[in-house]
Amino acid sequence: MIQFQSVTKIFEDGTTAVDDLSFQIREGETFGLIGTSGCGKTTTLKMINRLVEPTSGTIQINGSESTSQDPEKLRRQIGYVIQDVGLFPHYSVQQNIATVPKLLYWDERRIASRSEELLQMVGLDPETYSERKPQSLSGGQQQRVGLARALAADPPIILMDEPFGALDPITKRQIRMEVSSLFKQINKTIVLVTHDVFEAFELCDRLCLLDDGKMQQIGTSQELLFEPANNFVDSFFASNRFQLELLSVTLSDILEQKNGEGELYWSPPLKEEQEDDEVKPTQTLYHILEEMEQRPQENLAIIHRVEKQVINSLGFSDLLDRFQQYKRKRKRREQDG
Amino acid sequence: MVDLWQFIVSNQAEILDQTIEHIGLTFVSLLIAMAIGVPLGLLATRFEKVSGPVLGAVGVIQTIPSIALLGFMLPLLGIGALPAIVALFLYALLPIVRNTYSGINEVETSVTESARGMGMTGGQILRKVELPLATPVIFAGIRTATVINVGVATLCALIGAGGLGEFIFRGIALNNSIMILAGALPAALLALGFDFVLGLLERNVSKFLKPLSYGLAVVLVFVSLYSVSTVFSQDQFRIGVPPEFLERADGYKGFTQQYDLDMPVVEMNASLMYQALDNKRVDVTVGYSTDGRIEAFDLKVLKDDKNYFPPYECAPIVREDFAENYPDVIAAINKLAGKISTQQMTQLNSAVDHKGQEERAVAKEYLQELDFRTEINRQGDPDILIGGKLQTEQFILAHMYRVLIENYTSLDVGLRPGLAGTQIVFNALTNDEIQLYPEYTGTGLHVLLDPLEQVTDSLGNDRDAVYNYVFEQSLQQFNIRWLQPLGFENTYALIMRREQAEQLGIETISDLADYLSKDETQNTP
Repeated sequence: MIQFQSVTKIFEDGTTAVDDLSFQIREGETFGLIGTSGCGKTTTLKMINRLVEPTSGTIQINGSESTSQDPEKLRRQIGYVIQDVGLFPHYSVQQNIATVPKLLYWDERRIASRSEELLQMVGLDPETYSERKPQSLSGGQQQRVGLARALAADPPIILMDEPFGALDPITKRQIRMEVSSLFKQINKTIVLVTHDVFEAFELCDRLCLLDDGKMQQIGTSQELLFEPANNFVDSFFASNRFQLELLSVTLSDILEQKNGEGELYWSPPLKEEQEDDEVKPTQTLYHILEEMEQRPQENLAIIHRVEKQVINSLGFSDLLDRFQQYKRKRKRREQDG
Repeated sequence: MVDLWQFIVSNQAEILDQTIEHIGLTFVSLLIAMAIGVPLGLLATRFEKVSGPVLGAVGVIQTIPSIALLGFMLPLLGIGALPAIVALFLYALLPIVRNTYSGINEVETSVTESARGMGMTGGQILRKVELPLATPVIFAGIRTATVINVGVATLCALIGAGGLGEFIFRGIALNNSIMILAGALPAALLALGFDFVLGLLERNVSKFLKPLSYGLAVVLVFVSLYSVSTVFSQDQFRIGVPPEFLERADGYKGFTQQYDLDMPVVEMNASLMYQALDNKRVDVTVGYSTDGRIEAFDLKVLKDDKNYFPPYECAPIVREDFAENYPDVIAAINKLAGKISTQQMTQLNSAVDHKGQEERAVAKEYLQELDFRTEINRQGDPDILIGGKLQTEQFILAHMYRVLIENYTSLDVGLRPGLAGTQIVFNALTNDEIQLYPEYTGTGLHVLLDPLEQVTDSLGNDRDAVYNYVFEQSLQQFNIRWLQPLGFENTYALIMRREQAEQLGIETISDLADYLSKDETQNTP
């Protein structure tokens, strides 16, 4: 758990980068810091590992104040990934990954097996890549190594500053998907800074929107979209609202099944009982609609878990209808509340 | 080529000594520059506020011409290896400091930031990230500094620090290109060799050559210390000698034979010798008897009791065809014949060297005392160029002749004094690049004509006989005419500090030789 308490940062030139910030990042969640450039999100992130020291206020990490320990010791327990990756050009991939374990005096064998494990985790073949130098890798591969390096000493917290900002759209999308599933596996507290709201919506459990160093709203993507705290929050998402709404709403939101008695399948299935055709209810509407575009002949079937009979079959327009209903319901709830 | 090879073979011991001195000077200064320059460059990267002044200062030092820098060192540190090393160190500083600074700064911020973010301490970032990444750039700076230092170190011969410059300057003074090459070629090879070795080290610095480079550094430190200690050692009676004197027929070799003298020689620029003597860097120098600094520094001229040195009457010389074509110029020049005594010349020199007056004013004032016309001062393109050597009196005389010619003929006169060596000035005269310069009969005899020993012996110490011989032979051999002597003599002279000479009871060169041989027997058990 990371706790910000009235944190303010005023730089030497007099600019206030972060203004009286208080919030909590829960253990194990992926937390996004978003906002326009210059809003103070990177400064906020860097105050967690003390690359920037707050002017006033305190930051607690797992109950102890961050300033109570040596900044170097603190940083070795916090993974750090940045946009330009910053791999050491004179080190091999393996040596790069071994950086923090070496600082922590791990023994050689443990370091070797850990870096092999990590390379596999980020989708790089250890045999091919271990001894390569960073400049021989593509941008996407470098960022994978950067991620592996941040994870090397198994830190409970990982800070990521625009980690995919320098990648081309295709690589970015692919890595984002992989990272998204990786995040779910590793169960770490992740703080992600990004100016890309789609990225934030896809990866983060909760978001904090900053403007001019001040917190505007903190909450889930749906809370930010459907219950904006002020005009700034509302207008911040205005230009991409529809897409973002589709990204934030999941199948389980719009289907509102009782007891979860139905399972979701593409219908008709290409083959009988094909596992691939099962659809997870946590999928966002955006991804389902996108996939449906590629499967024009298929509907989304809700099949009774026990009785194995089709309860309902939904097409593209049915899903959009349900989405509109869900939005209306939320609005009503908001007005009532 | 063959001549050069023969010269190198026959002087190999001296060349080897000079090369070792040269390496010593280069590397002692380089090691100091590395020890100070790299931390200074690092400091500049850590404190942006000092980077401007630091880089500016080392940059300004680099713009000072090397001769001028050596000149600045003299009053502070005297002569010898110490000022040379300091000057070389200052020259090596810029490339090392600047390359360290930019090498570290060129390390991408994303790399240092991620290093910091991962929990490396400042020292770890420096050792593990910044220095390894900046090494090629820093090394390039060290290579540049080495090559610069090998070159500049040749100039250090001017202040008695030894090195390969000794042959170069001796060669320049005597217009002997083989001798120049004998110094320049090893210097160039040294520069290339060091650059190559350092390049090799740079590429493999992280690999197997690391221990080798440490070994090499240790060896170099020892060589450096050894060679410097030989230059520094002060316990012996030492003689400072200008390059030309070492090679002249009436020079050092014959002189030491005649008097049976043997003492360590420090080769240095003629105009620095008096100061070196005054600073006790040397105990005897070979200077000129009319030099104003003899009076200024309270020095003593030792009597040439065995009449080794021939008479050195000063007289202007011109080409014979010039003398025929410009009788009015010759007449103007000859107005000064017999008008300057040795004592007067010494006083004039002293007025410039000691009292700091301008040569030109001193010259004009003296002519006014003699009731010559001095008011005309033409500024047009020169019709006649007057040359001269490095001694002060040559400057003064050139100014006097200029005033006389401009006031008693309709010609414009330009000056080219300060040429470094008898052969250079004389060649300029025979090639008609200058039309006139004051020469000395003894120098004419030994340097220009260099007759057989029987001839010089028969002439002995007879002023007129030497003048007549030089006059006739110069006309015959070179078509050069000696005009009437000015009246003074400027002989080579052995000079000591008056205080020390009196303390040791040395009056003549023989006294000195006696003292030294006694000293030697005392020192050997």
